[in-house]
Amino acid sequence: MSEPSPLSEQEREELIAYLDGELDTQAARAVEEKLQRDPAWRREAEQLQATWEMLDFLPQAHAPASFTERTLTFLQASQARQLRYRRLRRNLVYTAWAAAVILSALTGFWSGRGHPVFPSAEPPWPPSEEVLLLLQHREYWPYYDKLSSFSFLRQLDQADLFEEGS
Amino acid sequence: MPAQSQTSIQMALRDPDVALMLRVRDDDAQAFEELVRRYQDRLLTVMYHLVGNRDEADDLAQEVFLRVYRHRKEYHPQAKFSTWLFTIAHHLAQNVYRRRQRKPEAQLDLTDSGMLAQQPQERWRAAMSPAPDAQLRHEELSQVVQEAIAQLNDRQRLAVVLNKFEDMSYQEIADIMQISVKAVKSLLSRARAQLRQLLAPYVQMEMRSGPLPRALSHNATDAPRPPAVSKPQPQGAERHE
Repeated sequence: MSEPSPLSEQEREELIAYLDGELDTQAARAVEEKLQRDPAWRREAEQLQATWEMLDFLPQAHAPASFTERTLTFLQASQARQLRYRRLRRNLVYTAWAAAVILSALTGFWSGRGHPVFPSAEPPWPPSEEVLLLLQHREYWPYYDKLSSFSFLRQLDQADLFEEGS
Repeated sequence: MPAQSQTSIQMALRDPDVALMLRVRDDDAQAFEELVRRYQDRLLTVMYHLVGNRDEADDLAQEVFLRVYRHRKEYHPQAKFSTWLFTIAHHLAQNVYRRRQRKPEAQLDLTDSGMLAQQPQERWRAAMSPAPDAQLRHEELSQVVQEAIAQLNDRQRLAVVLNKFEDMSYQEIADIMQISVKAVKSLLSRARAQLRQLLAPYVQMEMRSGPLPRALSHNATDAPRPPAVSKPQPQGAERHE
């Protein structure tokens, strides 16, 4: 094993940053002075540099000739898969909407049986005499449900109903 | 002109790969193919050293490219393209580490076979034996260094691999790992101190016997090794014989 480094952790950081060309001019000059003055610094720099150069022995991978083609094919397959997925999702959304509409219509139909939600036919036109009569007497609308018959309304319509002697 | 597109133009002028990626963003399939060809070896090398398994590295590299394509519309050049690419690679490698933590039986396979199963001291004796020729010695050292790298923790290994193979600055490594430059400095310092300890016998051996023929083929696929990235050597860093 190697001797322990004579440099503190901070000094070693500075030295390595210097070897990597990462220090500004002033900091680099400070390291250079230490290297010139101190043999321990020089030894450390030399060993760190030699160790770094040993990493040149690391293998560098080379992609096989088919790599690019394989990647592009994979990409196309992936895009086709995504497209299929998007279509499927869209179809599912449409189906869900359709199902929701049908379901709510059916619910409406079943809950409204015997009490049709929609009138079976349009109201007759022109309106009947009774309706016209009712419309003429807006002041009686709040009492509409108390009217037993339209004959009472007709009587109201006769101007002399409340005249004296009638 | 919007500030973002101005930045894009500046980055594209500075980094040709950014220009290529901007074409990919605009759905240019040929540009994507070119990008894969340009980066496949570099990415595969980094992934191989991060996960220590060639097949897994292959799959991960492919997945990185697929993610690049899938997220192409979100790409906004603010740094070198390689920073973005290796950030994706880093995230994928982290997934592998997490999976391995959950299933501890899945380990780096660098030490699984043959000579790699030996202890460093035994390997040192084997490497020092007079019999092996340069090729054998070279392969031996390659395995030794791989094992040393495998002994670093995941973060140290990533920082070392990016610094060594991609020649990345501390700032770029910090961007990829999403940590501070100071943290990268400390990470690399500790990693290199650990490597210095682990490789000390081999370093001394090499210093005694002279430099090894690094031009020998010793890569993962037996293809010729490209020249090592040479960093500017500041004064005082040269060897003192």
